[in-house]
Amino acid sequence: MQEKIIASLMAQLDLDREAIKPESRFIEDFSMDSLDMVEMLINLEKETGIKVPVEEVGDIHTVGELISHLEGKQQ
Amino acid sequence: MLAPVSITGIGKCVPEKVVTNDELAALVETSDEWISKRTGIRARHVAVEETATSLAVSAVKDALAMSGEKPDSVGVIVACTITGDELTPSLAGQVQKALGIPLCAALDVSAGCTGFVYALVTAASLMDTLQKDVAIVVASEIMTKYCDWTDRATCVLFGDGAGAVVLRRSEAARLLHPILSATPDTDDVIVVKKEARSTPFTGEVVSSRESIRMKGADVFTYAVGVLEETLKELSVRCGEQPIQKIVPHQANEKIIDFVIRSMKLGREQFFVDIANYANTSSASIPIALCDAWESGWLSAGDRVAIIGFGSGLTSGGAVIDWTIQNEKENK
Repeated sequence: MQEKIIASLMAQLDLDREAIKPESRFIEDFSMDSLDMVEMLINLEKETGIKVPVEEVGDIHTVGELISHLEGKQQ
Repeated sequence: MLAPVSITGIGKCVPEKVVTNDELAALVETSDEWISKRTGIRARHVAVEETATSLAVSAVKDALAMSGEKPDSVGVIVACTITGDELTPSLAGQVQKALGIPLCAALDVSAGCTGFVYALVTAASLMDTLQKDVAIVVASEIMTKYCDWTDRATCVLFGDGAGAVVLRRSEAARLLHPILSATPDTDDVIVVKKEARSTPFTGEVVSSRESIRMKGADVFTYAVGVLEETLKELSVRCGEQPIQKIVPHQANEKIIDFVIRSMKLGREQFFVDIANYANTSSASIPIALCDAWESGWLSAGDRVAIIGFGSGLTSGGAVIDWTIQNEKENK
Protein backbone atom coordinates (compact mmCIF):
# COMPACT_ATOMS: atom_id res chain seq x y z
CA MET A 1 0.00 0.00 0.00
CA GLN A 2 2.72 2.46 1.02
CA GLU A 3 4.66 1.96 -2.21
CA LYS A 4 1.51 2.38 -4.34
CA ILE A 5 0.71 5.64 -2.60
CA ILE A 6 4.23 6.97 -2.97
CA ALA A 7 4.39 5.96 -6.65
CA SER A 8 1.08 7.71 -7.29
CA LEU A 9 2.27 10.90 -5.57
CA MET A 10 5.57 10.83 -7.48
CA ALA A 11 3.67 10.66 -10.76
CA GLN A 12 1.12 13.32 -9.87
CA LEU A 13 3.49 15.83 -8.31
CA ASP A 14 6.56 15.02 -10.41
CA LEU A 15 8.63 14.43 -7.26
CA ASP A 16 11.58 12.16 -6.49
CA ARG A 17 11.10 9.23 -4.13
CA GLU A 18 13.32 10.90 -1.50
CA ALA A 19 11.09 13.98 -1.38
CA ILE A 20 8.11 11.99 -0.12
CA LYS A 21 8.32 11.20 3.59
CA PRO A 22 5.64 10.10 6.06
CA GLU A 23 5.79 13.48 7.74
CA SER A 24 5.48 15.42 4.45
CA ARG A 25 2.51 17.78 4.55
CA PHE A 26 0.41 18.03 1.41
CA ILE A 27 -0.40 21.73 1.57
CA GLU A 28 2.69 23.17 3.22
CA ASP A 29 5.40 20.93 1.69
CA PHE A 30 3.90 20.00 -1.68
CA SER A 31 1.87 23.21 -2.29
CA MET A 32 -1.22 21.12 -3.04
CA ASP A 33 -4.68 22.69 -3.10
CA SER A 34 -8.06 21.06 -2.58
CA LEU A 35 -8.40 19.97 -6.22
CA ASP A 36 -4.91 18.43 -6.12
CA MET A 37 -6.07 16.46 -3.07
CA VAL A 38 -9.18 15.26 -4.91
CA GLU A 39 -7.03 14.29 -7.90
CA MET A 40 -4.79 12.33 -5.55
CA LEU A 41 -7.76 10.42 -4.13
CA ILE A 42 -9.12 9.61 -7.61
CA ASN A 43 -5.70 8.32 -8.67
CA LEU A 44 -5.40 6.21 -5.53
CA GLU A 45 -8.88 4.77 -6.03
CA LYS A 46 -7.80 3.63 -9.50
CA GLU A 47 -4.59 2.14 -8.11
CA THR A 48 -5.97 0.47 -5.00
CA GLY A 49 -9.72 0.17 -5.50
CA ILE A 50 -10.23 1.98 -2.19
CA LYS A 51 -12.58 4.95 -2.31
CA VAL A 52 -11.99 7.88 0.03
CA PRO A 53 -15.00 10.24 0.05
CA VAL A 54 -14.25 13.90 -0.59
CA GLU A 55 -15.57 14.78 2.89
CA GLU A 56 -12.67 12.87 4.44
CA VAL A 57 -10.00 14.99 2.74
CA GLY A 58 -10.02 17.37 5.71
CA ASP A 59 -8.80 14.59 8.00
CA ILE A 60 -5.71 13.87 5.92
CA HIS A 61 -2.79 16.29 6.20
CA THR A 62 0.37 14.21 5.76
CA VAL A 63 1.58 11.27 3.67
CA GLY A 64 1.66 9.17 6.84
CA GLU A 65 -1.96 10.01 7.64
CA LEU A 66 -2.96 9.10 4.08
CA ILE A 67 -1.24 5.71 4.34
CA SER A 68 -2.92 5.00 7.69
CA HIS A 69 -6.30 6.13 6.33
CA LEU A 70 -6.14 3.83 3.32
CA GLU A 71 -4.74 0.91 5.33
CA GLY A 72 -7.61 1.37 7.77
CA LYS A 73 -10.15 1.17 4.97
CA GLN A 74 -8.41 -1.87 3.46
CA GLN A 75 -8.89 -3.90 6.65
CA MET B 1 -32.41 10.66 -35.49
CA LEU B 2 -30.04 13.41 -36.57
CA ALA B 3 -30.33 14.92 -40.02
CA PRO B 4 -27.04 14.62 -41.95
CA VAL B 5 -25.57 18.08 -41.36
CA SER B 6 -22.37 20.08 -41.62
CA ILE B 7 -21.30 23.16 -39.69
CA THR B 8 -21.03 25.85 -42.36
CA GLY B 9 -20.58 28.96 -40.24
CA ILE B 10 -19.26 29.88 -36.81
CA GLY B 11 -19.10 33.10 -34.80
CA LYS B 12 -18.48 34.39 -31.31
CA CYS B 13 -18.98 37.58 -29.36
CA VAL B 14 -17.63 38.54 -25.96
CA PRO B 15 -18.14 41.73 -23.94
CA GLU B 16 -15.69 44.53 -24.50
CA LYS B 17 -14.63 44.85 -20.87
CA VAL B 18 -11.79 42.54 -19.81
CA VAL B 19 -11.17 41.99 -16.09
CA THR B 20 -7.79 40.52 -15.21
CA ASN B 21 -6.96 38.49 -12.13
CA ASP B 22 -5.01 41.44 -10.78
CA GLU B 23 -8.12 43.61 -11.03
CA LEU B 24 -10.13 40.99 -9.13
CA ALA B 25 -7.52 41.12 -6.39
CA ALA B 26 -8.84 44.60 -5.62
CA LEU B 27 -12.31 43.15 -4.94
CA VAL B 28 -11.57 39.95 -3.04
CA GLU B 29 -8.56 38.46 -1.29
CA THR B 30 -6.87 36.74 -4.21
CA SER B 31 -4.00 37.11 -6.65
CA ASP B 32 -3.14 36.34 -10.24
CA GLU B 33 -0.86 33.53 -9.02
CA TRP B 34 -3.57 32.01 -6.79
CA ILE B 35 -6.20 32.00 -9.55
CA SER B 36 -4.01 30.97 -12.47
CA LYS B 37 -2.30 28.16 -10.55
CA ARG B 38 -5.63 26.65 -9.47
CA THR B 39 -7.67 27.22 -12.62
CA GLY B 40 -5.57 28.32 -15.59
CA ILE B 41 -7.65 31.52 -15.77
CA ARG B 42 -5.88 34.85 -16.35
CA ALA B 43 -8.76 37.10 -17.42
CA ARG B 44 -12.46 37.12 -18.29
CA HIS B 45 -14.82 39.29 -20.33
CA VAL B 46 -17.54 40.93 -18.23
CA ALA B 47 -20.78 42.35 -19.60
CA VAL B 48 -21.46 45.99 -18.79
CA GLU B 49 -23.79 47.19 -21.54
CA GLU B 50 -24.06 43.83 -23.31
CA THR B 51 -26.86 41.34 -22.70
CA ALA B 52 -27.21 37.62 -23.38
CA THR B 53 -29.37 38.57 -26.35
CA SER B 54 -27.00 41.17 -27.82
CA LEU B 55 -24.02 38.80 -27.56
CA ALA B 56 -26.05 35.97 -29.11
CA VAL B 57 -27.29 38.09 -32.00
CA SER B 58 -23.78 39.31 -32.81
CA ALA B 59 -22.34 35.76 -32.75
CA VAL B 60 -25.19 34.50 -34.94
CA LYS B 61 -24.76 37.30 -37.48
CA ASP B 62 -21.08 36.38 -37.88
CA ALA B 63 -21.90 32.69 -38.23
CA LEU B 64 -24.61 33.38 -40.80
CA ALA B 65 -22.32 35.69 -42.79
CA MET B 66 -19.67 32.99 -42.93
CA SER B 67 -22.17 30.35 -44.00
CA GLY B 68 -23.62 32.54 -46.74
CA GLU B 69 -27.14 31.72 -45.55
CA LYS B 70 -29.84 34.38 -45.60
CA PRO B 71 -31.90 34.72 -42.41
CA ASP B 72 -35.09 33.66 -44.20
CA SER B 73 -33.54 30.28 -45.03
CA VAL B 74 -33.28 29.41 -41.33
CA GLY B 75 -35.80 26.75 -40.31
CA VAL B 76 -34.70 26.06 -36.74
CA ILE B 77 -33.13 28.16 -33.99
CA VAL B 78 -32.01 26.39 -30.84
CA ALA B 79 -30.48 28.61 -28.17
CA CYS B 80 -29.00 27.48 -24.89
CA THR B 81 -28.53 29.61 -21.83
CA ILE B 82 -28.96 29.48 -18.09
CA THR B 83 -28.66 33.26 -17.82
CA GLY B 84 -31.08 34.53 -20.47
CA ASP B 85 -32.36 38.07 -20.21
CA GLU B 86 -36.05 37.17 -19.92
CA LEU B 87 -38.07 34.28 -18.54
CA THR B 88 -40.03 34.64 -21.76
CA PRO B 89 -39.67 35.15 -24.68
CA SER B 90 -36.87 32.69 -25.14
CA LEU B 91 -33.38 33.66 -26.22
CA ALA B 92 -34.07 31.84 -29.50
CA GLY B 93 -37.16 34.02 -29.96
CA GLN B 94 -35.11 37.14 -29.28
CA VAL B 95 -32.54 36.06 -31.88
CA GLN B 96 -35.32 35.35 -34.37
CA LYS B 97 -36.78 38.80 -33.78
CA ALA B 98 -33.41 40.56 -34.11
CA LEU B 99 -32.65 38.79 -37.38
CA GLY B 100 -36.11 39.41 -38.79
CA ILE B 101 -36.79 35.75 -39.51
CA PRO B 102 -40.52 35.58 -40.28
CA LEU B 103 -41.22 31.94 -39.48
CA CYS B 104 -39.16 29.13 -38.00
CA ALA B 105 -39.01 26.77 -35.02
CA ALA B 106 -37.36 28.57 -32.11
CA LEU B 107 -36.70 27.25 -28.62
CA ASP B 108 -34.21 27.29 -25.74
CA VAL B 109 -32.62 24.35 -24.01
CA SER B 110 -31.21 24.45 -20.50
CA ALA B 111 -28.53 21.93 -19.69
CA GLY B 112 -25.96 23.94 -17.73
CA CYS B 113 -22.49 23.98 -19.17
CA THR B 114 -23.39 21.03 -21.44
CA GLY B 115 -26.03 23.22 -23.11
CA PHE B 116 -24.27 23.65 -26.44
CA VAL B 117 -23.94 19.90 -27.00
CA TYR B 118 -27.60 19.40 -26.11
CA ALA B 119 -28.61 22.29 -28.38
CA LEU B 120 -26.56 21.01 -31.30
CA VAL B 121 -28.09 17.55 -31.08
CA THR B 122 -31.58 19.01 -30.60
CA ALA B 123 -31.20 21.21 -33.68
CA ALA B 124 -29.96 18.37 -35.90
CA SER B 125 -32.81 16.17 -34.61
CA LEU B 126 -35.40 18.86 -35.35
CA MET B 127 -33.96 19.37 -38.83
CA ASP B 128 -34.74 15.70 -39.45
CA THR B 129 -38.17 15.76 -37.79
CA LEU B 130 -39.29 19.02 -39.39
CA GLN B 131 -37.42 18.48 -42.67
CA LYS B 132 -35.56 21.78 -42.47
CA ASP B 133 -32.29 22.50 -44.26
CA VAL B 134 -30.72 25.21 -42.12
CA ALA B 135 -30.47 25.70 -38.36
CA ILE B 136 -28.81 28.13 -35.99
CA VAL B 137 -27.39 26.93 -32.69
CA VAL B 138 -26.33 29.63 -30.27
CA ALA B 139 -25.09 29.64 -26.68
CA SER B 140 -24.96 32.87 -24.71
CA GLU B 141 -24.27 33.45 -21.04
CA ILE B 142 -23.90 36.38 -18.66
CA MET B 143 -22.47 34.34 -15.80
CA THR B 144 -21.00 37.33 -13.98
CA LYS B 145 -24.47 38.57 -12.97
CA TYR B 146 -24.92 35.40 -10.95
CA CYS B 147 -21.60 35.49 -9.11
CA ASP B 148 -21.17 36.33 -5.45
CA TRP B 149 -18.53 39.02 -5.80
CA THR B 150 -17.50 38.58 -2.18
CA ASP B 151 -16.71 34.88 -2.59
CA ARG B 152 -13.21 34.45 -3.98
CA ALA B 153 -13.73 30.73 -4.50
CA THR B 154 -16.40 31.21 -7.19
CA CYS B 155 -16.37 34.77 -8.55
CA VAL B 156 -12.96 34.30 -10.14
CA LEU B 157 -14.15 31.32 -12.17
CA PHE B 158 -16.70 32.80 -14.56
CA GLY B 159 -16.93 35.06 -17.58
CA ASP B 160 -19.47 36.13 -20.19
CA GLY B 161 -19.75 35.40 -23.90
CA ALA B 162 -21.60 33.80 -26.77
CA GLY B 163 -20.85 31.44 -29.62
CA ALA B 164 -22.95 30.27 -32.54
CA VAL B 165 -22.85 27.86 -35.45
CA VAL B 166 -24.94 27.38 -38.56
CA LEU B 167 -25.94 23.84 -39.54
CA ARG B 168 -26.84 22.95 -43.13
CA ARG B 169 -28.19 19.64 -44.35
CA SER B 170 -25.42 17.87 -46.27
CA GLU B 171 -24.99 14.66 -48.23
CA ALA B 172 -22.56 13.19 -45.71
CA ALA B 173 -23.24 13.42 -41.98
CA ARG B 174 -20.56 15.49 -40.33
CA LEU B 175 -22.10 15.71 -36.85
CA LEU B 176 -21.72 12.20 -35.48
CA HIS B 177 -22.06 9.92 -32.47
CA PRO B 178 -24.12 12.16 -30.15
CA ILE B 179 -24.07 11.36 -26.46
CA LEU B 180 -26.42 13.16 -24.06
CA SER B 181 -26.57 12.14 -20.43
CA ALA B 182 -27.63 13.36 -17.01
CA THR B 183 -27.34 12.01 -13.51
CA PRO B 184 -29.29 13.43 -10.57
CA ASP B 185 -27.47 16.10 -8.58
CA THR B 186 -28.45 14.54 -5.27
CA ASP B 187 -25.91 16.57 -3.27
CA ASP B 188 -26.70 19.94 -4.88
CA VAL B 189 -23.14 20.36 -6.10
CA ILE B 190 -23.98 23.13 -8.60
CA VAL B 191 -26.99 25.31 -7.81
CA VAL B 192 -28.26 28.78 -8.69
CA LYS B 193 -31.61 29.42 -6.98
CA LYS B 194 -34.22 31.63 -8.65
CA GLU B 195 -36.01 34.29 -6.68
CA ALA B 196 -39.31 33.27 -5.12
CA ARG B 197 -42.32 35.55 -4.85
CA SER B 198 -45.36 35.25 -2.67
CA THR B 199 -48.83 35.04 -4.17
CA PRO B 200 -52.17 35.50 -2.41
CA PHE B 201 -52.10 31.72 -1.80
CA THR B 202 -48.58 31.06 -0.55
CA GLY B 203 -47.99 33.34 2.42
CA GLU B 204 -44.66 35.07 2.74
CA VAL B 205 -42.15 33.18 0.57
CA VAL B 206 -40.18 36.03 -0.90
CA SER B 207 -36.51 35.27 -1.33
CA SER B 208 -33.99 37.02 -3.49
CA ARG B 209 -32.10 35.38 -6.30
CA GLU B 210 -29.04 33.55 -5.03
CA SER B 211 -25.57 33.42 -6.53
CA ILE B 212 -23.80 30.39 -7.97
CA ARG B 213 -23.07 27.79 -5.31
CA MET B 214 -20.66 24.99 -6.11
CA LYS B 215 -19.03 22.18 -4.19
CA GLY B 216 -15.71 22.38 -5.98
CA ALA B 217 -14.26 19.01 -5.02
CA ASP B 218 -17.46 17.16 -5.99
CA VAL B 219 -17.69 19.07 -9.27
CA PHE B 220 -14.08 18.18 -10.06
CA THR B 221 -14.67 14.49 -9.33
CA TYR B 222 -17.80 14.46 -11.51
CA ALA B 223 -16.19 16.43 -14.33
CA VAL B 224 -13.04 14.36 -14.72
CA GLY B 225 -15.10 11.16 -14.59
CA VAL B 226 -17.59 12.09 -17.31
CA LEU B 227 -14.98 13.81 -19.50
CA GLU B 228 -12.92 10.64 -19.50
CA GLU B 229 -15.90 8.31 -19.97
CA THR B 230 -17.41 10.38 -22.79
CA LEU B 231 -14.10 10.65 -24.63
CA LYS B 232 -13.57 6.90 -24.35
CA GLU B 233 -17.09 6.20 -25.63
CA LEU B 234 -16.70 8.60 -28.57
CA SER B 235 -13.34 7.00 -29.41
CA VAL B 236 -14.91 3.55 -29.47
CA ARG B 237 -17.74 4.76 -31.68
CA CYS B 238 -15.30 6.37 -34.11
CA GLY B 239 -13.53 3.04 -34.61
CA GLU B 240 -10.93 3.20 -37.34
CA GLN B 241 -11.46 6.90 -38.01
CA PRO B 242 -10.01 8.21 -34.76
CA ILE B 243 -10.67 11.52 -33.05
CA GLN B 244 -7.77 13.84 -33.79
CA LYS B 245 -8.61 16.83 -31.65
CA ILE B 246 -10.70 17.56 -28.57
CA VAL B 247 -12.49 20.75 -27.56
CA PRO B 248 -13.81 20.21 -24.04
CA HIS B 249 -15.92 22.55 -21.93
CA GLN B 250 -13.57 25.13 -20.46
CA ALA B 251 -14.36 24.97 -16.75
CA ASN B 252 -10.97 24.59 -15.13
CA GLU B 253 -7.66 23.74 -16.76
CA LYS B 254 -6.98 21.25 -13.97
CA ILE B 255 -9.90 19.11 -15.15
CA ILE B 256 -8.44 18.93 -18.64
CA ASP B 257 -4.90 18.32 -17.36
CA PHE B 258 -6.14 15.48 -15.16
CA VAL B 259 -7.76 13.70 -18.11
CA ILE B 260 -4.69 14.23 -20.30
CA ARG B 261 -2.52 12.55 -17.64
CA SER B 262 -5.04 9.87 -16.79
CA MET B 263 -5.63 8.82 -20.41
CA LYS B 264 -2.00 9.40 -21.39
CA LEU B 265 -2.97 11.74 -24.23
CA GLY B 266 -0.97 14.54 -25.78
CA ARG B 267 -1.75 18.04 -24.60
CA GLU B 268 -1.57 19.22 -28.21
CA GLN B 269 -4.75 17.23 -28.89
CA PHE B 270 -6.76 19.52 -26.58
CA PHE B 271 -7.76 23.10 -27.30
CA VAL B 272 -7.68 25.22 -24.14
CA ASP B 273 -8.54 28.92 -24.08
CA ILE B 274 -9.80 29.27 -20.52
CA ALA B 275 -6.97 31.70 -19.74
CA ASN B 276 -8.72 34.42 -21.77
CA TYR B 277 -12.38 33.80 -20.97
CA ALA B 278 -12.75 31.84 -17.69
CA ASN B 279 -15.80 29.56 -17.59
CA THR B 280 -18.54 30.90 -19.87
CA SER B 281 -20.78 27.89 -19.20
CA SER B 282 -22.62 26.69 -22.32
CA ALA B 283 -20.85 29.27 -24.49
CA SER B 284 -17.38 27.90 -23.78
CA ILE B 285 -17.39 25.15 -26.43
CA PRO B 286 -18.54 27.29 -29.39
CA ILE B 287 -16.20 30.12 -28.33
CA ALA B 288 -13.33 27.61 -28.14
CA LEU B 289 -14.29 26.07 -31.50
CA CYS B 290 -14.29 29.54 -33.04
CA ASP B 291 -10.90 30.41 -31.55
CA ALA B 292 -9.51 27.01 -32.55
CA TRP B 293 -10.58 27.60 -36.13
CA GLU B 294 -9.48 31.26 -36.27
CA SER B 295 -6.05 30.37 -34.92
CA GLY B 296 -5.56 27.61 -37.48
CA TRP B 297 -5.46 24.88 -34.79
CA LEU B 298 -8.67 23.45 -36.27
CA SER B 299 -8.68 22.90 -40.02
CA ALA B 300 -10.97 21.49 -42.67
CA GLY B 301 -10.63 17.70 -42.64
CA ASP B 302 -10.05 17.45 -38.88
CA ARG B 303 -12.15 15.10 -36.78
CA VAL B 304 -12.84 16.92 -33.51
CA ALA B 305 -14.71 15.79 -30.41
CA ILE B 306 -16.66 18.28 -28.32
CA ILE B 307 -17.43 17.27 -24.73
CA GLY B 308 -19.48 19.14 -22.17
CA PHE B 309 -20.26 18.61 -18.49
CA GLY B 310 -22.05 20.70 -15.94
CA SER B 311 -24.97 21.32 -13.67
CA GLY B 312 -27.88 18.96 -13.73
CA LEU B 313 -25.62 16.99 -13.56
CA THR B 314 -25.40 16.81 -17.32
CA SER B 315 -22.77 15.60 -19.73
CA GLY B 316 -22.58 15.07 -23.45
CA GLY B 317 -20.37 14.81 -26.47
CA ALA B 318 -20.33 14.53 -30.22
CA VAL B 319 -17.87 14.22 -33.07
CA ILE B 320 -17.60 16.85 -35.79
CA ASP B 321 -15.88 16.34 -39.10
CA TRP B 322 -14.78 19.93 -39.59
CA THR B 323 -15.30 21.33 -43.08
CA ILE B 324 -14.85 25.09 -42.81
CA GLN B 325 -11.59 26.19 -44.38
CA ASN B 326 -9.75 29.10 -42.83
CA GLU B 327 -7.69 31.83 -44.47
CA LYS B 328 -4.45 30.15 -43.48
CA GLU B 329 -5.45 27.07 -45.46
CA ASN B 330 -6.48 29.14 -48.45
CA LYS B 331 -3.11 30.89 -48.69
